Amino acid sequence: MKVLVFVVALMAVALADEECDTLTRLKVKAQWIEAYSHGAARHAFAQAIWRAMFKLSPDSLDLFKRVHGNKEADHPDFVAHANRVLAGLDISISLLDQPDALKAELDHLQEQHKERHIPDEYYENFGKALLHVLPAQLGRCWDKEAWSHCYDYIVHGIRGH
Amino acid sequence: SSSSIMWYLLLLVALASAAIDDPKARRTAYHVKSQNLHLDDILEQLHELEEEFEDRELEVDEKEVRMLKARISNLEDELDPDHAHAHCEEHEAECGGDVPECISELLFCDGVDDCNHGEDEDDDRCDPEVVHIGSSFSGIATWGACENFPPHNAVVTITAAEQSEYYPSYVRVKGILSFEEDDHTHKIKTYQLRGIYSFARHALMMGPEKGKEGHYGVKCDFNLGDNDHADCHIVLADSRDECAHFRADRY
Repeated sequence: MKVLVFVVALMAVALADEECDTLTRLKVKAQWIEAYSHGAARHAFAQAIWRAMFKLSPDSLDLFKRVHGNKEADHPDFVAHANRVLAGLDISISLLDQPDALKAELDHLQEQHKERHIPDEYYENFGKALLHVLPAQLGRCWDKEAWSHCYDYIVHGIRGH
Repeated sequence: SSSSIMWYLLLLVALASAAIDDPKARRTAYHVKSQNLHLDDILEQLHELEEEFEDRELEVDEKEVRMLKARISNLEDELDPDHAHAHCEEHEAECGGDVPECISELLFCDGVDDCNHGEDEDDDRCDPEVVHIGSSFSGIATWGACENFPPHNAVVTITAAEQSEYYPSYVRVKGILSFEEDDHTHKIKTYQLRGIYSFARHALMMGPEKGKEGHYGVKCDFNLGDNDHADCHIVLADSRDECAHFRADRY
């Protein structure tokens, strides 16, 4: 009986999150570790994503005035910021299999982003950029649908809607 | 008498011809003619020399030199098992200039110069022509595992290619791998593939198209000096273990 309750509970959780389900989360988590890499490769990964993002939404550069991103993409302040954003994404993805901790992190990020009034389009384009750089880093072993679903899930948590 | 008249006439003719044909002019004409003959003779000698020169086949095909250099550089990488001289880290590739330099594979051909001399944005390197739709790469595949086939023709054909405007570092491709299963009945097996061509790696990497049967993938390294020759492997898509190998030429 206990097992049955547990299974039903698991199913409920799975249905609630629909597409970014437990197995998909584990897949994304594993692929992220490979893609996020380390050292200089991590820096280049961030750089590639931001370059693509700014090509998609050149206006979004204005958001990064404080870290000099609107003047030059190689400014150390912006480079630090670019890496910091990915670090936030890293925490979120790493917590995909711990719903409570993930909720706390997403709430925290939501708080940080609230006052910036970031248009939905920027979140979408950042996702587009991320999903284009990932296959370059991972080659064939990556699941676009899985990433798409879990990215949407995380962004939903940050935007709050 | 009639004979004296004849002699007289002959004398007249001789005088007349001497008057028209000035000896000086004749001499000049003679000299010009002999000089022309002399020139003809020199031309003929020159021609003979040229023929002799051509027989020596001294010209080296630029393409051959390029391929030889590529083979040497491949061996330099291969015979360096500890990668003591290969200074590029994982996820990095050589810029390819005179001074060895490595940058991330993710930053090639994205419109921003990252190598010191901008080699990562070199037109030759970033030319998507290598996976132009309709490009076909074929060779004799020898199987080392997976199938019990004798050597036979294998063909990889590009059927679709797409490069994103905002992240142009690779080309998304679709293609078909086909090979003869039986050389008596000419039964052909075909697999639909999809994957990417990476400018940083000069490599075409494809696996099974989503929802299509088949567990084979193809990896082609364009490391032989140009876009028309590649070192191709038929691999198991999941593990990337090699099943067959073929030296591919473009048709």
